[in-house]
Amino acid sequence: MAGSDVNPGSLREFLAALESLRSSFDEAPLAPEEALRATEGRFLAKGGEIALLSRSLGRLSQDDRREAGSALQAFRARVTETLSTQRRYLESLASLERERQERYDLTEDLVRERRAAVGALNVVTQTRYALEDLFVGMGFSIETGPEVESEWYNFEALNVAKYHPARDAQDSFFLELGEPGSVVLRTQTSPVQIRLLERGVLPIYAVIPGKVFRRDTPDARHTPSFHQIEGLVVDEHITFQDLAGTVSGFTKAYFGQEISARLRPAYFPFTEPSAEFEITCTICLGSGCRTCSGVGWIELGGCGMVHPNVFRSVGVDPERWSGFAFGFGIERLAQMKHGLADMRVLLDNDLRFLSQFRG
Amino acid sequence: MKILYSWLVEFFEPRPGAEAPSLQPSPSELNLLVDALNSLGMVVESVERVPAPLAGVVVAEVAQIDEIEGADHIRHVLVHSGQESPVSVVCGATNFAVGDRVPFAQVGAVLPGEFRIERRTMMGKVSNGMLCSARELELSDDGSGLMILPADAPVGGALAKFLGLEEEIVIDLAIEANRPDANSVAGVARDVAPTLGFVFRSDSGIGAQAPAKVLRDQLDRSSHGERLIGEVDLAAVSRIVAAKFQGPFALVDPTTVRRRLQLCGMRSISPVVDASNYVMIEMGQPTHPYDLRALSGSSIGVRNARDGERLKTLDGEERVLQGTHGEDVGDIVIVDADSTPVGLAGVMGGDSSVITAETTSVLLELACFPRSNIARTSKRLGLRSEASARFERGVDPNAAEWALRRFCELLAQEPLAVDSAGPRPVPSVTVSLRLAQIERLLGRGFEIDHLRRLLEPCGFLVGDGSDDITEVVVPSFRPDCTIEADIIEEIARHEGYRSLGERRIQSPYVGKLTPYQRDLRKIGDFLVSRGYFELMGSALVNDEDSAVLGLSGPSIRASNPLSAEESVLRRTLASTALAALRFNAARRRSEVALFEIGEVFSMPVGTAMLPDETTRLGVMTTSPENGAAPLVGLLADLALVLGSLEVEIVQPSRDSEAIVAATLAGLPSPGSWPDLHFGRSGYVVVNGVPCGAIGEFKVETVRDMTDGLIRDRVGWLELDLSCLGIRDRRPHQAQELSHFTSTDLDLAFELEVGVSALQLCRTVQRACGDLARSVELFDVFTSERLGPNRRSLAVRIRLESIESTVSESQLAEIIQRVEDLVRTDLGGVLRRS
Repeated sequence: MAGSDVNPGSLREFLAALESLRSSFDEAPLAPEEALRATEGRFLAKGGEIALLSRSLGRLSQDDRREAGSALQAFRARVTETLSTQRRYLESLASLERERQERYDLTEDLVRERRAAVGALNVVTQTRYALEDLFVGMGFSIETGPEVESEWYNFEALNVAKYHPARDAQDSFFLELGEPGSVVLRTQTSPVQIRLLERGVLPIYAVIPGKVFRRDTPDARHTPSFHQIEGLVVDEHITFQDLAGTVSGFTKAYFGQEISARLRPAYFPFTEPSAEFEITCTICLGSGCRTCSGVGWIELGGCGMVHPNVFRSVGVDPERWSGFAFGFGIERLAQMKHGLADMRVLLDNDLRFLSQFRG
Repeated sequence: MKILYSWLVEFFEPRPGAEAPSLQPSPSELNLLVDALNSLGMVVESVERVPAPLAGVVVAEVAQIDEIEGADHIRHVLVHSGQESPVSVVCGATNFAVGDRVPFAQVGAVLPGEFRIERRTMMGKVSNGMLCSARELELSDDGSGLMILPADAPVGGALAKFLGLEEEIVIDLAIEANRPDANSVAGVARDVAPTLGFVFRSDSGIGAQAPAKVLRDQLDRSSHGERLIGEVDLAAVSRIVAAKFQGPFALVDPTTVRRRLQLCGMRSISPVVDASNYVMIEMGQPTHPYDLRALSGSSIGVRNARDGERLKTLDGEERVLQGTHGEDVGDIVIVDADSTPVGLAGVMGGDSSVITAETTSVLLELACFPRSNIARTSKRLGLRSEASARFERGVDPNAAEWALRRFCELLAQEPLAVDSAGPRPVPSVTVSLRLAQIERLLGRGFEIDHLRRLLEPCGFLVGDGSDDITEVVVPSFRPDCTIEADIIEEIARHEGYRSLGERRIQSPYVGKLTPYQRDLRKIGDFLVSRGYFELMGSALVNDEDSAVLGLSGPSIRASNPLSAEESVLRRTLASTALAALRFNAARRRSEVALFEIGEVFSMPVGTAMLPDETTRLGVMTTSPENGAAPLVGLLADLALVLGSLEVEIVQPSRDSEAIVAATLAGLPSPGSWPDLHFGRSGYVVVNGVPCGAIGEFKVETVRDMTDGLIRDRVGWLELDLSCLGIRDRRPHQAQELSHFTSTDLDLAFELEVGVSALQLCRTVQRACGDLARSVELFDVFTSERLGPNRRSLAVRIRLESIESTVSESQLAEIIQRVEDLVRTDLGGVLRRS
């Protein structure tokens, strides 16, 4: 051991002893952990080499003592630093080794057989909520009404004449309640328009989502029950331009800027003027494809200015108030957005289908 | 409705100095037409180019005719057909001579009926094709011999071209119910002509040159010569015209008429019937020809049918007729002079007076019948004809004369007599139009001259309108226009909906969901996060399910269901969920977690007309041993998610069936909750109000509803969601937190089986007072030592005080209080270890 039996009396001797201590530290073992601990004890402990050497400082002159002291201090700092770096290094080595032992294949639980922990809203509900949110953002309220309606709400008040083909038992499910033909599973969400107007709180800015029923044998495009969403705006100074602007604004907001809407004349008993609205084909973006029969446009729904007879049937003055209504099928929108080839898949509640719409 | 381009443009006249419509439109010209039709609301469903017929059939000149030795019925013919040398053909007809020009179907041609012409050898002679009769080419019914063509027919030229049979463009239009005028070629032309820059001509079309000069004079007199119309009930027909014709009958241009009818989907029958159908498609006025000999008294009348009256229609069916009873309108019949029905007005003619090959004199009926009668008759008898479809929507009451003239032109006939009944012209409807109202509805004002330019070409007459209001006379072919808004729609339609402009509305309201709507979304999101899938059910279900589910009382039935599987209104969401379970089990997905938020219905309450309709939540899950347990936990968490909902479950004692009935009776609409597993079900009480059922389906129910495919137990929760409205919706107020460590106290009790865990926890909570932050069950066991009617329940009580830690003495005191209260209230015994 180089410095332990040295007892320097001069600066030169002190520095030589320090130098010898330095080289013995450089050779001292720093691993494994027990050796590191021994080296630490040998140099830094109370009776360690550095402490021993510092005792001889007292024998030096004041000037020499300062020089020797600062040299010894620098050495101590170096030893401390080196040992602590080495300790951290050894610890991380040990930790790495332990973690290597504890290896776990994270993909096991990505693919493990288990019951789905996440379900899904029906794609129709998802579509409905997206539409509701859009209209809520435009200052609309969401209103609902009964699925079973009287003939008055479903037809009469909506200006559907007694012998209008829409009243045909071919198209509507009537119920064995009251007079024959007096109670019907609603064929449209429009009776809720009448209920809202009856409530008499004007102006109205509302959308009406809900289930409707048509006596259609199920096929790829029709199911006997499906969902509509209907809009009703009644205010002073509402014009056809507002209708066109609303339909077009909604279309862009829902489908994106590249899809636009256009109106063409149509006929509905409860609106005048009436229109059908079409949107750019979402498949071909207007260039023409099979989905749109080559025309670049797809029919989405009906709309128009509220017929004065509808206002009169509920005692709203058509000379003061004007309004528009529009409506379309929610399934149809879902069909376009998600590429549903056959609507009937919505009737089965097939988990293989439902679980496709988790996101 | 199908129309032909070539037919349509016959009604277009160019404006002075402008070009006539193209007879062979380029794709872009055709697109202009399609766009114009669409933008006017006559929606083009399809455009089909149909090639000229009879490809490979040319005009040939007979060069030589030779007998064939040993053949009686065929001869060998050489014809010039535009090739260098004459062509050899074998022919069975004899009505032609050398020099005649005849149709020649060359080898490779395909004649109507998919008859392919091939080279054949007969009696040693080669036949390179076939010489044809008019019938073989489907040009007429004449099959008596070869069709002899005029001497100017170009030899070697295509026969179709010579006959004027070009490629045709068939346009299929969807016509709205309010546009009866557009159910005709002329009506479509009238509406679309201005948009395309043409003037509508009303007197156009083929055969227009044929003489019918006396017609106008005859019609202007109320009756001319003999009477053709007898008794007429003017409530059953607003106007009727009859004309008498004497045969023989031949179409001026049979080739065109037949081809057009065929392309519009109608069969060619006879010259008279073809002319009648042609006029209907062209003008929209249905007509009906009668064999005059079959009409007793040689005249017709119109009246309402009598109940039980019978008529054999021309399709051979015997129809039983119905009279009119007040508002309940019935059938109308055309009768002969003896008042015997000879036709079902507006729907179908009678069998007795049908036109045959032997018919020599014809009575043509042109009438306008009330829309509702025709609609009812055709619906009741399930008999929809081209005529009834037009009458249902409304036929122009003033069109009869125009149509009669056209009929005469097509057959080059002059009527021997014409008779009519009913006012002529039918008075016009006049509508007052306020110019300010146009702007109020359309958002844009229109000058009166502009209105005139838009409306008058389509038959409307716009008055002077010196002030802010003008009178508009509606043409009789537009019965749909009766009020101001109708006229404004016409203005918008002809101006073009797309050129009216757009504006963004500004709602005065802040849009937001109601608290109830937010709750529904929360419920959905919560269940989805727990692995449940939302299903969609119809309101209509199978009534057989009611018995399987144990629902009492009658169902509300649909009077006209599509099938028994969907024939009654559902009273519970269970049948839909079980149907989904069966569907998925059959596809090897028998672990199922489903929910639905939907409507259920029960009988109207009191004097209400409509069924009692409520929104329910239904949740179903499968589980190997206990279907109810996962749903109870789910319900507890759902209550936490929704907030301010205190949920209890009341379960009948296991010995008392009476209590089941009593508890179910406490629910809203009893009879609408499925029977559940007796030992594993209860009803849900939310904030003190019973509002649902929870538990496990009976094993038998699951078996019957799922064809035995499910072995697991099936849990069911069904809640009437009106319970969401009965809670305090004020925001939750934060509670102060304790700085002192809490203490847990575990206590176990022996209790009767009938005492519920919830009762125990409630009692313990009451005994501990405010100090107990929570009381939770952590262990349940039964043992022989306890006996069959007792069990042990262990609860963990977390004690915490805002002021200090809970001291030993407090603890001892609490234990004593809990022990005493459980003993006195529940008959339980604290187990001391």
